[in-house]
Amino acid sequence: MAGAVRNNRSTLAEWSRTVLLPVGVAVVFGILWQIDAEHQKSSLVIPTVGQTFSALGHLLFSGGQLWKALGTSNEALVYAYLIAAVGGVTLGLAAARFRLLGRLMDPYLDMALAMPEAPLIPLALIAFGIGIVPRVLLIILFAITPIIINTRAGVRNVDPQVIEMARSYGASERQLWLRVLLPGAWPAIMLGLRLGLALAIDGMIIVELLMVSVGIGNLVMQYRATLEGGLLFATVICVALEALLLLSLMRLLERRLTKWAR
Amino acid sequence: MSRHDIVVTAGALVLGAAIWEAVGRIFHPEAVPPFTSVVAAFGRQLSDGEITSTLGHTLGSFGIGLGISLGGGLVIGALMGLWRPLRQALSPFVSLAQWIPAALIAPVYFAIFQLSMWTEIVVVIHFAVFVVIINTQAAFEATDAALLEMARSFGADGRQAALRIRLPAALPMIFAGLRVGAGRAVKGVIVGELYLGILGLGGVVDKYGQEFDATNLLAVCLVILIMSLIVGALTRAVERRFTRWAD
Repeated sequence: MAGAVRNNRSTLAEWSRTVLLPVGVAVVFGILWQIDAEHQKSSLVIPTVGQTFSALGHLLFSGGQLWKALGTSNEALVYAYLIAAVGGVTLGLAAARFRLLGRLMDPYLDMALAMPEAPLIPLALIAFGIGIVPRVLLIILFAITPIIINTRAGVRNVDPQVIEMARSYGASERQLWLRVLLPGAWPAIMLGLRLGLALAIDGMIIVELLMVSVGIGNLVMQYRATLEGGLLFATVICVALEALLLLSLMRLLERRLTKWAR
Repeated sequence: MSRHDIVVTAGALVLGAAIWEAVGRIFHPEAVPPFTSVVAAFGRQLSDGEITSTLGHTLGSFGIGLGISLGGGLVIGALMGLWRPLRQALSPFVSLAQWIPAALIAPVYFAIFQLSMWTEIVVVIHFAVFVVIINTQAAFEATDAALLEMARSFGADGRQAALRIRLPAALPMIFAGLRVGAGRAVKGVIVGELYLGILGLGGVVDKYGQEFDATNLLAVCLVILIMSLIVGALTRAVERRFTRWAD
């Protein structure tokens, strides 16, 4: 009994520490930021904490600029991610099923993993102008590689003994895929899809920030040019929040769907 | 790699180049000049010094940024792995930072560091440092308790246990973090340079992009690809060299 009470108290202490310590760090950071921002008033670009939060309120609740920009950016993200997900899983499955195809893809997947995607942005602009098409294409380029690689690895890592057994019980190719290979590869495929989403969001921001000034990227550039530091920082915070929200939702979905596949 | 593998890989590369060349010669798309003219442009860029002068700048920012990321990431990660309160204080921010798109912060760094090499370096650090911290911390945290117990019963003090037991046991994961960090640092330096638009290889990309010169643009991309592949191969070699005993 006494042991249980002490245990309770120590988990409480433990819990308060995991909450209080990060909060303390955030407060200290905020104070240092505020001091620094007030110190260099002349530069105008670094806003104070207060300016940033009032700009955040302004962006979220009045003047629909932010929401409009988010809409433009996310339109390309949604199309691109859907295409990358369907195409990436299909290519990954094909590479696992047809050995030669997989081996032919290998050097290109290695290159795609190592190569920074950003310098290809101007090339897509030369090919497709400045509409939504080059943005969608570039985001696909950012997102598709880990989806292909994870899908293929997932199928390949299915226990060969299980495949052998299914075959010896007379499973057809179709049954083998639907009942054995896909369920076995499912966790890896979902992980690939989550990594792909993170990279797609990266891609959306890089493309808009570097080359195609629309949506969020345009908003950021505009606030930077007019030296509105508060609005600039607040926009960055909003997009960061969107990225976190999307990735948390994806993780939730991943957990649900992985449980369901079992 | 067996001989058969090499033949298939070479076949895949030749096939790709042939398709590229054919598309370029038959359809003349603006963005796909023939492979041979891109290689010719690549040769010209190498010989007239356009690449060597800018490559030095890019490798400089990359090296300084990666060095700071590795040094800082290892120290912070190790301290977080060894000392619980620090881990509790910092880990929410580290995992948060890892999932927020790194390029998003470039304008903020630009606001602070203006048009200087430091903006690039800080962007490189932002791309690379968090994965180093997270892997190092996880590696130190996950040391086998039985190993530590044994070391302690043989009279090792805290420092000895950290240096002789935890560090060697953590090496494979730390090196995996370094390899991923180096890959991200390459992407970071290119994004940083493209954002600034005048320095290094990113500056050259920007220039040819504005001139709509696809041939020279692809030639610079070839340089960047080769640089990334070399960085990848080097880090894998270092990783193998220092973790061979762990297999």
